[in-house]
Amino acid sequence: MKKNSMLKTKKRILWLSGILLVCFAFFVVRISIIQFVDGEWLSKEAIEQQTRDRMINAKRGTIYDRNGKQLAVSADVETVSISPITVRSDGDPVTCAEKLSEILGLEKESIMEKIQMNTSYVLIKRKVEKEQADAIRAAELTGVYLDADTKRYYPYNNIASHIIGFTGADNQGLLGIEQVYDNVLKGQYGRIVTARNADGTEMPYKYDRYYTPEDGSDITLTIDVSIQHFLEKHLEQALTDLQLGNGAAGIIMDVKTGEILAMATKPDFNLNEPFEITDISVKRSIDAMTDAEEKSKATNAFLNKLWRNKAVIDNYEPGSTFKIITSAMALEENVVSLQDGFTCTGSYKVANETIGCWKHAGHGTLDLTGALMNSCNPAFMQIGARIGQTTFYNYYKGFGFTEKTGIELYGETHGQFYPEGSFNEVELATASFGQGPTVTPLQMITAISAVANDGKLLKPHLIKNITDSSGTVIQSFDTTEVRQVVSAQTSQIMRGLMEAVVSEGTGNKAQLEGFRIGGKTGTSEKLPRGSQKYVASFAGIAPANDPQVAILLLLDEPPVGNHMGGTIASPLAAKILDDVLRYLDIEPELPGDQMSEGDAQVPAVSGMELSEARQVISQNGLRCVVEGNGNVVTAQVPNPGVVIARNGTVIVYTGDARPSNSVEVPNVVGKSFEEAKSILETAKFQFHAVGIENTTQNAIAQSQSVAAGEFATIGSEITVQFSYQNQTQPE
Amino acid sequence: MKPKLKLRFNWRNIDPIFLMTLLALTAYGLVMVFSASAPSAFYIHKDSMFFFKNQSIWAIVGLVVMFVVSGIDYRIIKKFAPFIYAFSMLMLLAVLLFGTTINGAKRWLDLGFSTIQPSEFAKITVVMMSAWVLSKVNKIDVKESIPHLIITAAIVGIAGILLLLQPHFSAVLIMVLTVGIMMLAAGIPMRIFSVLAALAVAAGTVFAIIEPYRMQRLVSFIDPFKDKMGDGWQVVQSLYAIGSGGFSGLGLGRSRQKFLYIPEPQNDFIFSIICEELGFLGALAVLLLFGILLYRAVRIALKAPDRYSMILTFGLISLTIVQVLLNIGVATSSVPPTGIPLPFFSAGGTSFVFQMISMGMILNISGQQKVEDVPHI
Repeated sequence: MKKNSMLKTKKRILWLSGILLVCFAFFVVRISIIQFVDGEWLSKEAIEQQTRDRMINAKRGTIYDRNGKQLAVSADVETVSISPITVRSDGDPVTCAEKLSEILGLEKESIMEKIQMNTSYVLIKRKVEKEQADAIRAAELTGVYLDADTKRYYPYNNIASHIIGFTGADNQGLLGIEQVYDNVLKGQYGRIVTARNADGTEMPYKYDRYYTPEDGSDITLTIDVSIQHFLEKHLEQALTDLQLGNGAAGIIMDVKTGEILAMATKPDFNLNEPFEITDISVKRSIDAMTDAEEKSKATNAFLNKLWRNKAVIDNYEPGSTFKIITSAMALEENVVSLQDGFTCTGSYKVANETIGCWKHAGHGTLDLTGALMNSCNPAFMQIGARIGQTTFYNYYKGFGFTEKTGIELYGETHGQFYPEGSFNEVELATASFGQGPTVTPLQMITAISAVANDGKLLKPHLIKNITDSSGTVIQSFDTTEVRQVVSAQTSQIMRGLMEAVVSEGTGNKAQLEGFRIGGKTGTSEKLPRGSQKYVASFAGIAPANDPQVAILLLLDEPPVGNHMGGTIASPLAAKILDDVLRYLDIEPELPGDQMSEGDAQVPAVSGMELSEARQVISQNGLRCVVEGNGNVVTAQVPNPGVVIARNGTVIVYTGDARPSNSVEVPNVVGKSFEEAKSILETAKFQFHAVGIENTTQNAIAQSQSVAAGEFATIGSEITVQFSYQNQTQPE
Repeated sequence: MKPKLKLRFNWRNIDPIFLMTLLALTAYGLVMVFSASAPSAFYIHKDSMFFFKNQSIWAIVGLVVMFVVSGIDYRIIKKFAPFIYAFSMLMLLAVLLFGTTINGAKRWLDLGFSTIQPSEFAKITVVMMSAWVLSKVNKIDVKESIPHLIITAAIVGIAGILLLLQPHFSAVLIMVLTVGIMMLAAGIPMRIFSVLAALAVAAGTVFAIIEPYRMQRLVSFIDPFKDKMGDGWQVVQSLYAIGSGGFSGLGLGRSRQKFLYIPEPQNDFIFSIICEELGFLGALAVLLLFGILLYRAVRIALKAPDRYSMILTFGLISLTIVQVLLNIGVATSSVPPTGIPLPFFSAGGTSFVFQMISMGMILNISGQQKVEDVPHI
């Protein structure tokens, strides 16, 4: 019996052991699953909690202008963070908070609050300058960490703001080239991985890994900061002088390469403070808002409008500037010869609609040159009809208006036109003189450049090359020819026509002594018609015989009454080209005697004997007026280097005489050319006449740049606007 | 008439593989205690060898005790079993009266030079007493075995109540499971066993319901990641450790989870650290060593001279294996979390010494040899 029960017990032991072994097998499987199936994510999560991963920002690449001037640079700054747990356990929270608040200018209470947080990482302040960071290092605070970071600086502040763009808090590009080429500029960030225990302090043994950051590449733009400056200076002036309702845009392009030398939108903003609202009235109205949401909405709307690059985004009707394109089409298609005559009776009837010319009396009979010079709409309607719908559309497309130019900026748009083959005679007629189709400023300057550049349409571009941190060129951007739109022969004729418009036609205010400028002005009414909102523009090339640069100016919503492209855009173009062409060392070509009002540079005469000064001044083609009774020149107005009209006056001060700052400006409105000149020069102002064509006869001063009765600095230039009596000024 | 067997203990007859296996487990355990405890020893006692030194002393004490016990005839111990059991129950009572409270549980007696955990003692005495009573169940007869079962239940019950008052639920669980296995081994009919098992499960459920924290543990067991910063913390950290190990581990001493992530890594979660540092191979080695230990102990049990030594040997090895399985079950999130040390590995003097006492008893049984020339009747 005992044996029997022993046997049973043995049996039971065996199968119970079997069950226990099954449990062992279960755990072998269970552990395999944890380690081999779930191991990957478990160890990933484990490493996440075990390590303190600190990013080291790579140095962001520099943006240069074409001459190597730094437009956007990164400087080393540091990020301050704390490990609250460490500060509390191993450090001194009070001293820590005091020191940090003192060095960083933060509130002590808020730092104290952060120290009380139950975590191992809290950010204190970003973008801390080196000096402050060094001070924190010197304070030797336990649990306070400094990590390298970079900050972006824009040495030229507002210059080319829409092109360069800016970066955000994480050094990410937010606008312009900074945004488009963010991946190129930012490089690859590095990391320091440090082991830490559950308390957040670092582990006693090495588990450090260091991944070296890779610096970003540098970008050289095609922009020339000096040309950009000239463009912006004059646009800014126009913005305030003309009280433009919706800003202005301008582009200067290298005709032969498609490189953008300057591109500006006004108003602009300071790249170092891109979120700052500088417009006082806007700022006031936003500050007055009480609702936070409304406030941020208004702020965003304002900033987004401010950051909008009109030069590549805005669509506008090109108006008469488009006549250059129409003319080029007509010549290329041989539907018009230079000898063909067009009759203008003041209006023209297409289908059943009568469309008027700006000159109600009519231009009589004009050839193509005359039609372009006088910007005659009926002539162009007839030319358009000869070209025909299909061909017209093909050229519109051929000049690149139906597609984006592909410039290195976001948000670019392209022109809008009637769909191919579905526009009628009337629409063709108006399109011929620039009404109906829309274009962007960039497309327009690209098309004008093609007309001037032997018919080759080039892709406009902003970037010259990209170099790595060691200076090796990684990528360079050459001239890209999109297509040949018109022949070299047509182009040659067009250059002559464009020059004629400026030298003798409606674009005459773009005339520049010594240079051959070609171009066309345009004025178009914004939709809906009758809105009384206009866009005045000028598209031109210089020098006309061998074009180097093309210029496009767009003045958005000038005040009604002073809204004509011929009166506001042309003189502005002249001023800009004056600066630009001199800067580019383009030799003046026209013979001196044709320069009725050639410019002269004021020589330095201070310190000279009076007689010597007189001689030097007259040698420079200027007149000398002496103040005081001394023998030695002590001061002069204008200052040396200033360019004034030939035969202008240089006032030299001798003895006790000192230049008084300002005198009252006399009235010249209503005076003849000679009278106005004499009155202003007697009052020691520089006389500058605009609106004079071939003769000064019958010219009557219409307005003066500084109103009579106001005070202006002695020697400063007063611009007097002339017009001819008994004759309306063409557009 | 009982057959007269002449038995003699002989050192040369003890199971050498069983001895070597438990020595290997002791050595492996010591190394892992050192590795796992170094960081917390450093953080708490500023001496990374603190727990290791302590454990080394206990290891020596445990080995000495084991050899002493292996030399004492199990039948002598059997004679004193009721007294030893009674003494262990008194100690449990003493814990309730004079014990030291740590983390809300009164489980320790402070002897001045060291603290001991009488529950470890009670585990063995309960197994010894149960083996004694169960060995009397001679017939496979339901009626006859009932009194023995009631006595066995009483043996476990007294210890269980005293332990629950501490409270020390996990010790009760281990006892109930071990004695359950012993009952089955002793030949208890399945019908009766099912009734007892159902009663035990019902009692366990009641305990889980009346103590909210136990219920919470059960819930957190289902998805430890749901509350990984709270109730799930330990288990999640344990899984992180095991998962980080991979096939061959991060290398001995290179656990990262022992840096305050796993609380007291040298205690209940030492298996996770083994998995992290030595990987699947290290874990397999632990299971293999315990497997060999179980195999040799079963072999000893099957060759045991009488029913008592047979049931005692199997009971003592079951006590060890049940703890191993529960400990690994908790570490791998296979059973609800409860604090059970891993025999031979988890730091702790009392548990190691009593572990070695039970191993000593098995060794003694393995060394008992029937003398050939005794005539059979």
